[in-house]
Amino acid sequence: MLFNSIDFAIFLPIVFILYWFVVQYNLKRQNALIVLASYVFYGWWDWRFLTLILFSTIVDFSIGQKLRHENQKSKRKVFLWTSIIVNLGFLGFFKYYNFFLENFINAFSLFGMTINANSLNIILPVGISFYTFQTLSYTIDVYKNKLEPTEDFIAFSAFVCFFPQLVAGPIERATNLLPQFLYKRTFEYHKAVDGMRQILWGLFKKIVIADNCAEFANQIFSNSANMNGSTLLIGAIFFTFQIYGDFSGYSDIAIGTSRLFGFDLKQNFATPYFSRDIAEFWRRWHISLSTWFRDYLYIPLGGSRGGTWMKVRNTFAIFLVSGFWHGANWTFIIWGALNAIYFLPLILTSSNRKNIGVVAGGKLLPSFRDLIAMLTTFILTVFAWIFFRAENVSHAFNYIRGIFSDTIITKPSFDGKWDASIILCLIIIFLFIEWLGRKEQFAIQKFLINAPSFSRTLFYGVLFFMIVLFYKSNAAEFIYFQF
Amino acid sequence: MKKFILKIIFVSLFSICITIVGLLLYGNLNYYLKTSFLKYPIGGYGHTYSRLDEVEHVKNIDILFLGSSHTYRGFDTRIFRNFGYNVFNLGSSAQTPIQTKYLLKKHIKQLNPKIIIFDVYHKTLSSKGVESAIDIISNTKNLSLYELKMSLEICDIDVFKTFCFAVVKKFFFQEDYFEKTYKIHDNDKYVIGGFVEKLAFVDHKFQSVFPKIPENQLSKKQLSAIDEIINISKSNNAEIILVNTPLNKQYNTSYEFNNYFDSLMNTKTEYINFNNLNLSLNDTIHFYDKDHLSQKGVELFNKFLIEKKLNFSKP
Repeated sequence: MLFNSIDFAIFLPIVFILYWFVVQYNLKRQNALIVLASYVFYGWWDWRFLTLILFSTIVDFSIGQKLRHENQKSKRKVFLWTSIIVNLGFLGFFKYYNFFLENFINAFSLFGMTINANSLNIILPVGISFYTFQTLSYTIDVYKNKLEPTEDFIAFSAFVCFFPQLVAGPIERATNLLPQFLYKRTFEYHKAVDGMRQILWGLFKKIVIADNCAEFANQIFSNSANMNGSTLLIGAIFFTFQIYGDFSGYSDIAIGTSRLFGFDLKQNFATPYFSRDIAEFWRRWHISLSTWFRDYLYIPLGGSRGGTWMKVRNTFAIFLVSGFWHGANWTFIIWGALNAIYFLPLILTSSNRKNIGVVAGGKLLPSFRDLIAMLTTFILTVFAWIFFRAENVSHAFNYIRGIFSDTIITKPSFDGKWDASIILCLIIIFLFIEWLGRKEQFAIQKFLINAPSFSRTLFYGVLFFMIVLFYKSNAAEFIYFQF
Repeated sequence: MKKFILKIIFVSLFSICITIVGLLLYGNLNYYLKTSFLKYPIGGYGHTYSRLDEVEHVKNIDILFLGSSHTYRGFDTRIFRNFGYNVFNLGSSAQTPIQTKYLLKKHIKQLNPKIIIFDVYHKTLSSKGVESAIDIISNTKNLSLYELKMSLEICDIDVFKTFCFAVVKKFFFQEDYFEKTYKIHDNDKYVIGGFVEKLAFVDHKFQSVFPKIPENQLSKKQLSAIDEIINISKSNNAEIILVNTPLNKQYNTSYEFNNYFDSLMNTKTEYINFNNLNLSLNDTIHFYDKDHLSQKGVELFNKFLIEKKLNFSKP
């Protein structure tokens, strides 16, 4: 079920009413309803893969129980590795089997050896990368004694399959989300209103910004061989806003929906395109994944302890793994490597934690220096996204070659320029609102908060109108569903 | 909780009002901007406005033609009139059986046709019908419950937007610029009775080979709409003939499921696929593109239809 579908618009109020009016007095029933609703939500896409979630839930719950009673280190390690192998095994099979097979065959063909092996027609289960990492965080934290394993199977199931964040995150840590299933939730007016506001902003980002940028990004990337440099540059910029609107929009809807049910999820995006360097960008982009890699990969590898080369090695390791996490394609690995290269000067000069706070804190406008820093980071990001969006590596290189050709100074040429101009104006308005709300959890959290109530309602009405006007019936699915 | 629900209801209602006003403002501006965010193609392609305007004044005919552009560009009302038939062509761009059903429901009592010739082009049967619904809603002077029901059946945001805008616009404004739509545009001339003649011969460079198009997924909704159309026709004592109008030969053979499609249509009622009959149509002379007949092709096809297929039931 998609957040921007009529199905979800009917599903959400039904679950909300059942949750707060029918099962509100009983924690077990509340959790059971969440599990049921989540299975319906996921099964709407393909019910067969519910067995995969259920199996993963049973395995990790059982391992948690085993770890509770086991003190012997070697045995605890066996349990931990069982969980890692099962979870990553599923992920590896569904997501990477064909990639490894093809590359294996290609590698052998370089030496003149022919291997006959058929690739499998594997359907990638939606959200597998997300819930796999979420359940792994539980087992690892229990293993490290950071978390007491739960004995409540229903609560644990609800934690694994919680529908707002099941298919595209935020990837919640067991230490943050699981305890929320163990205590009864009560309805909080301000939390619910805030949730609705965040859902509205998420829909605006997805429907108005991302889906409309997608139309032009797809058109330009699909016909890049016939496009001039300036058009290719515009295509890359459209994709830059498409992916941000798409993914952060999804996260906003997920977090907002969770608030309606009394849950607090982690902030996943914090206006990343206002970052002053690439380190800041990665502290603000897909925060739940970045921190997951930091805590479960970077730090166990040694983190920033040790010498400079150790830091460089670990940084490259997490960016390459992060790239590979996004998809079984060399383009993602190069995208990860490129980000690691961007990071390199910051590590070598130990300035990766220079820009911690919000840019231009307490001021309306940034300083000239901050503005240049933001623009530079933005350009580097746009360049990296080309690899992320391209069909394959040669497509990406040809695309970049096209941008840096002498046609960069010619007039852009693609279908629907009027539509594109309107979308560019909307992007500017969108960035303006994001700038004003850059200190908040989401841009419109406190927008017009001191203005008369009518102005605020009018603003929400205008957002709603724009969502209706710019809604596309042939809109793409959320990009991160494929990961 | 009560406060929350009341607030949600209030903000939702207010937002709906803003949306209606916004659609009205943007829709009028969009007549000049021509963006794709709100589709309202008045008069546009296929002279739908002229046709839907004219049909309001037509009564008791012999033959009614229904279907896509193959229909309004394929059945020349002048030729049929010369042979003594009183006809009307109610085809429209990309018209799918869902639209045909509602057009038929709306007009059948008044038109009271003896024969209905309905073109069942397989491409329209695999379509949702959005483009055609938008075309019909935008060009209908007096909207009725039929257009609302059609919008609900298609259930598409673009159609809903066009319908909302059309309702509000028609309520507040008189659409006087409709008069322009009878004029010739893009070499297309509207002929009384619903036919559209391509005035200039387009020297089209035909593709020599069309890629094979595999068996299509025909929409169940569209197939059941055909059954309803047959039932409506029969209950109004009209004979219905399903037809497949001539297509460029190379293009037609690129469909791999023609035999399946023919056998499926044959189970429904009388069905004629003109691509299987020897009409002596030449791909270059008698077509102006891959699936539309040129005026020479129309004349040849229509005479063939009248002499070989309709004479026995001439009123």
